[in-house]
Amino acid sequence: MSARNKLRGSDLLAQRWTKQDLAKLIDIEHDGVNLVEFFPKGIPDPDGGWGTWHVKPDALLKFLGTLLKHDKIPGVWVFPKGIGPVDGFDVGFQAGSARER
Amino acid sequence: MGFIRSARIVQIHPTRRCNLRCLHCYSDSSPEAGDELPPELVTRVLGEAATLGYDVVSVSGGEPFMYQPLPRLLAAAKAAGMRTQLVSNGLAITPSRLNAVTGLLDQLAVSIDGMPEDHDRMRAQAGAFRRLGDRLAMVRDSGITLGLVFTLTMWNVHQIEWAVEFALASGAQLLQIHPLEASGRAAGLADDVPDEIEASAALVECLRLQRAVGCQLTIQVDVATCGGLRQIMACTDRQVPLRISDAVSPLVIEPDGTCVPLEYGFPRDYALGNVSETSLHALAGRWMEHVLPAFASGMTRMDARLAEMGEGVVVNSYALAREVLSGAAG
Repeated sequence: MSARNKLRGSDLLAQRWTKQDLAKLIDIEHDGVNLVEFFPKGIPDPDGGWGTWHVKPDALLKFLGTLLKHDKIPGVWVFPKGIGPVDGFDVGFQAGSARER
Repeated sequence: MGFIRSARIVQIHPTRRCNLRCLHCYSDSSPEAGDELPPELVTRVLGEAATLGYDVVSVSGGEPFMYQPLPRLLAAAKAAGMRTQLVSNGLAITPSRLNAVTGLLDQLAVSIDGMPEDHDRMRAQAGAFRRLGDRLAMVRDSGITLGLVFTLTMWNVHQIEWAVEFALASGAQLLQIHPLEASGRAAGLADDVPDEIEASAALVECLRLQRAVGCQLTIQVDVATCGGLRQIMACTDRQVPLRISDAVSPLVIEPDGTCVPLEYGFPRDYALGNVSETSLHALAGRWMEHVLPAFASGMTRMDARLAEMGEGVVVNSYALAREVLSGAAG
């Protein structure tokens, strides 16, 4: 199989998610953290999705700590925002049947 | 300067001879490779490394168990007061070879490259994984601390959980997750080297699994966030390096005697020279005088690159150092 057609390890990690895991993930409430986009996959019965949280700098470590308490971790990536000093982070995730962004 | 953690490691590759011909071998080792370091040279170099401040020797290769004078090498390290570690493919371990190093070897790490099918493919040998079972039990029963080294690729972060379960079942006390390096025979595997997304997923997955298994198993992942790495570099920056071990760990001795900082095959602009021609003391002294300024300036550029990338981005520190310092020594 060529590299182009192969699924990344993090895609395969994301496939382990169930609808219940997904519901727990998008229900996370945390100071300094906002879920700003979420796209469900698997209409009419979503079993996955991808989205982004905006996270304030001082909330990042605590928020990642919250994610770690979940039984399963989705594909997660962190991007700093701001020119010069970082004024926030985008924390993106993909879970369940969503394997591509 | 650099990213010195608690241990100061001299990593020695005494031979390129190996019983396997793995697809991802960074040193291009094989059954035909003949170059190896004479035992007298190894004994001298390890003694010198200890007086330069190195306190751990890590033996790799090639397959260390194919190096006949291995017990002599380990005895020299012990006599110099160093802790001893070895990385093996596992298949060359026999009861007599293991017996010869018992009491001299503190930790034996065996490489695994994923679940059995993936491991066999990477090792270019059917049944390689199945044959590991007896060998791992032998190591565990010898009383030598057993570790496993898992090669992280673009395709296998989801197998880390399996690797943790396998490590626990095998009685291992350490699981090291090391990213694939696209050098040596693996130069053609650039598409398989994990990118930042896979490195991030590995870091988060390892933190989750470490929390789950507690102190039964130490999980070490050889990637770090830019912010974490900058903190480590800042700690070592506060000290003026008096000896080479204050600036460089690991210090790598290759099978032809070439000595380089940080990792096998590191850009030759930063090499210390060849220990078969000159003493390590002399090479280290010359390096501190003539190469350290360029190395330090490379580390400053690396710090700037890390700052640009942002605190939360996950990187492979050695690969980034190689990229930033490559071809830039004055």
